[in-house]
Amino acid sequence: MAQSALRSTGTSPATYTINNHHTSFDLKMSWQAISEGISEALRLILTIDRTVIEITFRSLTIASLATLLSTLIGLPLSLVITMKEFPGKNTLKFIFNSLVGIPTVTLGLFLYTLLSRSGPLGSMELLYTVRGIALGQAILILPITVSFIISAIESKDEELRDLTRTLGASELETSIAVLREAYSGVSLALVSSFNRAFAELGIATMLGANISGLTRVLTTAIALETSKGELGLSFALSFILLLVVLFLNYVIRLLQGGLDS
Amino acid sequence: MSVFKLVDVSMDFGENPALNGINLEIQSEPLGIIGKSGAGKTTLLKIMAGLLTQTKGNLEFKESMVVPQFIPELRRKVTMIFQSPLFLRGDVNTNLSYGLRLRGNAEEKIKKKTEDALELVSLTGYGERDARSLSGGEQQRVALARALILDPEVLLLDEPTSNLDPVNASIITDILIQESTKRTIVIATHDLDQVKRVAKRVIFLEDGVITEEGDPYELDSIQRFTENVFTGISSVEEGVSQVSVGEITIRTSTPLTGRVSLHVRPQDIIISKGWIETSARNQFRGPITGVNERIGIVMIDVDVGKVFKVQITRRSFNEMGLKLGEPVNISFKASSVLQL
Repeated sequence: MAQSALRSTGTSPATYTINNHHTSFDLKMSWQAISEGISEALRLILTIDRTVIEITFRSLTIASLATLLSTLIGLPLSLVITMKEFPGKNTLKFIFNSLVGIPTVTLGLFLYTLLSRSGPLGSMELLYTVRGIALGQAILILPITVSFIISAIESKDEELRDLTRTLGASELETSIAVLREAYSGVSLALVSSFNRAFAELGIATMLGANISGLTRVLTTAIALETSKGELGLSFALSFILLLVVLFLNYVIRLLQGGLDS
Repeated sequence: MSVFKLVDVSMDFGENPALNGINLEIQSEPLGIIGKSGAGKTTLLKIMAGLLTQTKGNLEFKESMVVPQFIPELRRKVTMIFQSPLFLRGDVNTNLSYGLRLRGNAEEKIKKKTEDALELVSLTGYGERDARSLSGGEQQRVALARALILDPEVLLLDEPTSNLDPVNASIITDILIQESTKRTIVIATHDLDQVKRVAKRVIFLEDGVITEEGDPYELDSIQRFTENVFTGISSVEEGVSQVSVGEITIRTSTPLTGRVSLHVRPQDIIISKGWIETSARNQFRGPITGVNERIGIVMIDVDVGKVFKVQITRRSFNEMGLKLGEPVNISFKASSVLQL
């Protein structure tokens, strides 16, 4: 981690000196820098800059992998938790609910120590890889996937299960029917999970280390480019990040429309 | 061969027993279950439907013990209809075909069967409507069609017409009478007219125990309940239900809608010679049409448009000097009116 310190020079409230062990430079904060950044961003997006495309694509890939993994584990897990009675069921639900808001850097730190070369899982060689980040984000979003799916299923009451059972459905067929009835809530869970993985920085930084061409994703690139003063690239990447997040929120709204009907 | 045999079946939800030592053999003839709300009717039906497992006792279906492994097969032969119909996402056809698809029927067969089922419940052409947008009566008829399409050996019904208007209730009752020749029907109901029309045998459940069973026309509890049992359509106004039972309207404190049967215990009715100012929400006037003396008490029939049986002590009967043909007032509280 780069050690950086922000120190006011006292000459102007808008002028700061950023010190880190690589660089030391003055950054003039004004509307000019922002407008230049925005026009550079538009140029990068409109000319379909290769770096921008590559980073965006990697972000999408990692978030998709994380969501896929989290769904593969979370969906059956949610079904078991909702359909079966077992001791500690409510505690388990409480734990998943609490972990929804786990700080990404905390989880990132845990996983970093686990996955680092000398760590217990070091031999898996997942640190500083796309797979490693995807795994970390999958763990991060699993509580969201599970909690949201559980509440979606529980919003459909026991009578629905009795209905499908009395019409001859097996327990598995009943679960599928309940999932279909809770479809909008389940989709919401998956979209929210993807959203969180896509926009998080802590795990991508800790497990990916922002290696150019290898593990650099939108959030880590934005953080780096900003600290380098490369506002144009930062803005371009931020716009893309925002666009994807806005699009996902639009999808969520459509799904909630489905929930209401 | 009995269809169902329940031996000492009990069901506990937490501490309160919902059913307590039920012994019941159901042959192929239609069975009615009557009893107040909370008497255990729904629990009993759900156990037979394989939706609940009794906490004690044994359930046999066609002389096979119902063990957990047998429940999927039981559910395919026994279908239950619930008090308020519930639908899967989609149109009427989707709902009707659900059970058939689970059973692996071919699409052509499904199409034919859904059309026949809709015809059976007089809803031809309703296939592509959204099931949830139908009226209550239509919904219950679709629910009935959805169960009958599976051709179950046993059809269990939990108060299927309690929220319905008389027209829809009567359509459903007619279908049930017709279907009772093809399959075993077990119906829990508050509607005594319906139980008399559909069932050949009736059990009376009280606090999770069968207190009586027999022919619906002979059953003591029904006889007992035909004293002051009135069936009518209820509507709620200012928290008080007004149940129109023909010539008179009975007020009851529990909010009820649809077709209900009400009971007023003869000992809860006050008799007076003239109008009295009272907090009782029900007061009617009419002549005494019958006097029956029993040990220490007198049962008086008062015709106020409907005949009420009123139980008073021999002493008050003598002191009031009541005579046959004399007009009197009867009054009882809205909270004394029980729903069957």
